[in-house]
Amino acid sequence: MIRFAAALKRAAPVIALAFLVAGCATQGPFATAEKLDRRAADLKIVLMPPDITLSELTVGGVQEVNAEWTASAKTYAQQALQSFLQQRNTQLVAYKEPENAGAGHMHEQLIKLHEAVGGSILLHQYFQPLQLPTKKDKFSWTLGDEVQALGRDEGADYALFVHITDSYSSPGRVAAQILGAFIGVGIPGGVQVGYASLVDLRTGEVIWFNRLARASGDLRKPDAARATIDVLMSKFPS
Amino acid sequence: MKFARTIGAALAAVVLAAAPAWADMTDHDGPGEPPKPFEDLKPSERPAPSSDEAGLWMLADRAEQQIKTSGAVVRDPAINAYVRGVVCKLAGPYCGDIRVYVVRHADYNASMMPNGVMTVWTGLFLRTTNEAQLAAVLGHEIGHYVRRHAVQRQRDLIDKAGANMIVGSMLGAAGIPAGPLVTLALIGSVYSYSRDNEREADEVGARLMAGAGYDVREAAALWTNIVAERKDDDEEKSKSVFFATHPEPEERQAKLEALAKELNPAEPVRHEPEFRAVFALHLLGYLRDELNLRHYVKFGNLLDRIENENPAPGEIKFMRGEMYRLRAKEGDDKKALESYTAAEGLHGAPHELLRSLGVVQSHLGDKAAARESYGKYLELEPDAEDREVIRVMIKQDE
Amino acid sequence: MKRFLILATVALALGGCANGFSLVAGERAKIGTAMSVAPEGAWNRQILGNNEIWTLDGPALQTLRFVAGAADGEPLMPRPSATFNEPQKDAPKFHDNMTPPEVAELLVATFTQFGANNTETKGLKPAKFGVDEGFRFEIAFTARSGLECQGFAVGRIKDKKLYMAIYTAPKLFFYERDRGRVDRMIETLRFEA
Repeated sequence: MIRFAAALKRAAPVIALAFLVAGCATQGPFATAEKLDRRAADLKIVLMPPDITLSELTVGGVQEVNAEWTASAKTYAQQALQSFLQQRNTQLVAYKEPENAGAGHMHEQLIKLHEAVGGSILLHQYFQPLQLPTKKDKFSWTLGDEVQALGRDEGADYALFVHITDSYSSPGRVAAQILGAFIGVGIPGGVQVGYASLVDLRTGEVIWFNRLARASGDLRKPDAARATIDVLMSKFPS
Repeated sequence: MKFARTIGAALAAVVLAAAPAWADMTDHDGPGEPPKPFEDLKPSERPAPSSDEAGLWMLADRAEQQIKTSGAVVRDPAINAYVRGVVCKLAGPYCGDIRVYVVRHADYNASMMPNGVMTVWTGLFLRTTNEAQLAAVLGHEIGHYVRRHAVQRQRDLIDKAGANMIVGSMLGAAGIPAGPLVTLALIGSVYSYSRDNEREADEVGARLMAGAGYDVREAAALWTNIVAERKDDDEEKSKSVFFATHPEPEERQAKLEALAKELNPAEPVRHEPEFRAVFALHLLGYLRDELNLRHYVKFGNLLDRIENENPAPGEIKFMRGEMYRLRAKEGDDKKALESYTAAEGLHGAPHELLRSLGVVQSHLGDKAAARESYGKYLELEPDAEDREVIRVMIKQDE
Repeated sequence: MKRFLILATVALALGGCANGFSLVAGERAKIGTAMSVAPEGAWNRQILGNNEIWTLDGPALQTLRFVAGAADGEPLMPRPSATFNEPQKDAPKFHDNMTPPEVAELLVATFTQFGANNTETKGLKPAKFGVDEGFRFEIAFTARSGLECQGFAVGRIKDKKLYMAIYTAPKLFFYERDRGRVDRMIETLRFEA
């Protein structure tokens, strides 16, 4: 049992990388529209609490989470998202937890539902062995119209969900990487995995989705964070 | 293909671009500052943001968010108030830093995360027979927390786990599985404290118990209960990570008895009636959770121990009947019948007993008796969720 | 999300779940050797032992699970070795002398072992399994993530084997959306001669 667990621990990052590298038929980003619906004069997107973790990969393959990095990454990511959208004439508002317990429970369930939808998109849209034949030809995912409650409570027309997990190689590890590359052994380096999705709060439809998976990029500094967000928000409807 | 090339190019980019980025980082593989000696955590203290302890806290905060909204958390106000009350009696100035979550989960466990989150499995309430025994467990966990054993462990582990595994194992220890792969064994291999830490936590726990007026001898008594459950259960011994990672019960018992002699207050309390009052109505549900694990030897041992002290013998005999009915080995239907019959009319025997009785009577071929049992069940539970099917079953057997 | 991904990927890789999904549509589809059903529209199906999982948007968003004949001593749902340490050992098992309340109990125990919380059944009543006599009950549970889910199951014990159709989905939006369609499909279940 403990052997299995140990093997699993070691295998997990490699498998994750293998998944990312595996022949993915569809790479996204996916968008069901090129433009946002600007019927309402004052278009607002609510940024759902971003799920971002930054850590450092040490030589042994351990990810030691860095709270300081994570805190600043969240700020830089939020700022970068704000300016990205401002340039496209769109207002980003922060998510406010409702005071009413009933509304709070509804929001909670909607966020969990989004997790299930986002996870399903990652699994079935991007991972070829588990593709769903009925979804082969078009990108069609929805949370359903109960999201309207979220729109009303937050005063927003769309909701933007962001998940980013990023890790950086420590110096010792980079040294090992160079050696490894020379003899042809691939040691997974810092890998950046994340996704963002935009949900229409009138219909529940996921109208834009992008998975970010690349081995470079940095959220620790403002400029680099902006570059990361630019990549993440590729093909975002205007 | 294209993707693989991209990763390859990106790896090279990292190697080349890495030089300026990491040159200003400190020259070792761990983040932040060198480790300090282990002073106790102070009340309301939070770790410095650049420390590895802060990183662990952040993961624990994240695990807490998941626990809060999980379906497994028990929201019963009386149970929560009671458990929190015990924690605060023990924890003194740390009381405000500790958030307690009671989780509906079979088997016994309680754990604390580095950030002050304490989780207690409802299965524990079947093993502690009074408030002092509960205090022993909670005091032990508070000991881990104030002595910062979680950070120590993170640094000491040879084969460390990744951030996701840590969160996963925190959640697993809390009883909120992060995914299908988290089992007790997996948790244990990643999340266990050293034996020295365990001994230290026992000692701190004993001191906290004494300070709150509890009878420290009850901490040793609790181990007697737990050992009794393991009797004749070979699979449990090899499977239970709990015993692989904690000092042998006999050693703990001896140590705790010695501490009791040294520390016990003048008039130590156990608060058995208070404890029973809180959990009386929930025991049957917790026993069902245990039976759901399908570890029949362990369950039988548990019933044996509880039977002697439980004021509701009908409940226990009924659950013994359920055990035989579900185990369904050769001769078990008959054993179940005997248990149900013994339970009938005793205090605590639930109405569902009659339905289970009907089922085993039906299995044994006694259709008339089965009909009678089902009929009695419907009389007592006219709004039963399965009443329509039971009526059909009565008719079919006629 | 990454955690979900890694765990799901590992579970699938180790569990040999490289089967994947295939399209099922048309007039009638065989399920195992003993049953058939008329799909309404196009579905995605995945076969796991004596279970078939049908879905439109992925099993996390709805699952129509067919149990195509669990025999005496078999569990209700197959347990991939990646998910359980000892796949068959502690599994709640079907016994061919079970009554409908015991089958509902079996489902609750099975779901609970798979990680569902607060699993409950209600409204157990006699009902048609296709055109044959069977039973039906409703299900409610909370998924591991805390997402509330709902469902119903129809079952029949025939020739000492258990046959079921179990439909579950998140309570929010998904359960209601396809419930009617699933109900109509279940009416078309037939045992092959």
